[in-house]
Amino acid sequence: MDEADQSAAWLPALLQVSDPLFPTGAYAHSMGLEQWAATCGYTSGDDLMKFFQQHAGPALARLELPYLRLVRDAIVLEDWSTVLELDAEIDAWKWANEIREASISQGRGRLRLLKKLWKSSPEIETYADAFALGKARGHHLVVAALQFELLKVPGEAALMTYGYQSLANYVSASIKLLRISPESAQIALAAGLEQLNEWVAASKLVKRESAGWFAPAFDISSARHATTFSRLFIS
Amino acid sequence: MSVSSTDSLPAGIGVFGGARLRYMFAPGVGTRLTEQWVRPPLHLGKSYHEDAWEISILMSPTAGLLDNDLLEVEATVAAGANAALISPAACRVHTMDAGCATIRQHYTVESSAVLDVWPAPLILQKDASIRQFTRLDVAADATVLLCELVSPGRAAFGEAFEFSQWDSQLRIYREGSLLVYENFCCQPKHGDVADWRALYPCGNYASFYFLSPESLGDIIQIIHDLETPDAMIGASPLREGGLGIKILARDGISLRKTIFLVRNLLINKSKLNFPQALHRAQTYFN
Repeated sequence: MDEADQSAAWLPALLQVSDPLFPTGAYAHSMGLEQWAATCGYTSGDDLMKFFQQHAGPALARLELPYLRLVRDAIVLEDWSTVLELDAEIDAWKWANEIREASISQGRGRLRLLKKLWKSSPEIETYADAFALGKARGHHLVVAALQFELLKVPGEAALMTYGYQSLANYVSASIKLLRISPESAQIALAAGLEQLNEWVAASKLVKRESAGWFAPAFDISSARHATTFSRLFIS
Repeated sequence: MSVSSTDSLPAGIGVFGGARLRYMFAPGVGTRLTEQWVRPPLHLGKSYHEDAWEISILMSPTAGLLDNDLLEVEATVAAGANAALISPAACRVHTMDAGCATIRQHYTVESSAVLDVWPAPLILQKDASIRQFTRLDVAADATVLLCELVSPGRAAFGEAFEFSQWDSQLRIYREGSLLVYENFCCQPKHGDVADWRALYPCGNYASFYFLSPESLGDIIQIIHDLETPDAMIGASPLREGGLGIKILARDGISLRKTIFLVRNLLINKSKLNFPQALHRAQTYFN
């Protein structure tokens, strides 16, 4: 391990942007869990672990983390046309409208704050300009990739952080949705995080043409959330 | 960009069949199939005309798809034309020791044109492998009803989710801009589609894309109200108009009933005069 590898200068800023205090509006979204938990009758931390195992983890490994890596690679190369192409692809594979809009809303919130905190970043500036002109969709995955590159977070740490945030967001929602205790929620999160290393490793092998995930019942449930009579979360 | 691979066929190919079709509108006559190229095992039945539409029946009279078979369908509906492509019989993807069958489809729908693609189900038998590539290019003021139905095995044999692999890539472009992108590799033996199997262990799947210049109003709520214990249905608006609809049903009969209801809702919403033949439910799943 050389000196650069040992340096953790990027860590404080990463902790700041990964903290639930960082106002992206994620707390208002369950990202499909609310309706899916109702459909499946989830009531416990064990149900949440099953959800991680069968859905959230594989979706990270085969779809989201590969796109995060691909976008970051394109940013490093300053290949902005590929960044925008990937952004458009993300928009097109987010089938349920609420999930698509949730991703844009969180991306927009994160982008706005990154611009304020790191005023001199040309990458943030370039993407924010494209977003303002309607050339970029503003998806959270893309803004997260920009942020990880801006902070020079090592590649694997960036994938782990994004994976952690995704699982933690489901856990946060589950406390309200499943009425499970914070302790049960943490046990479920720990079980998910135990597998995160494996999901991250698998994601690195996924090429752009293979990146994808199919969960038709979850998609249907996410779409139905938009017309439910009562709900706690926006998505 | 074309999805066609005709010019560079892979080595060791099984049967290569397909169709290239072009529909045009002739004033005072209606829509006519003006160009056609069909290669067995695909067979194009004699088209018929109704209400200025041309309805083509596309079928594979052979047993189905075997390893390394390739089917390519390319259809263009020129400006102002109304065409439907239907198939009356399910297409089975057979058990394979190795290899994979491939289906490539490319539909182009020009300004003010209408295309209804309503195939029978694809039945994924035990140890079958299939790759599908579908591309749709559509003008902003065109209307398209693109449907896909999949059965995860032969229900009569109690077979479900025993196929090896189902790869599918769908791209829909409106005015050249990517609107929908589906891309997946589904391997039930590795635990895929656990959500589908948990709800309906032998269930069937259907996917619709409805593109129309008409306002959709409250159709999503109406579609969601069609849900029954035997058929789960979700509809979601596409960016800048149109709908994606997914259905999972307990069995073929439930799927057929739901598709019939959804199709008629969408046809009414299109404010177009669809021929009576396209209002009727097809006979598959019986």
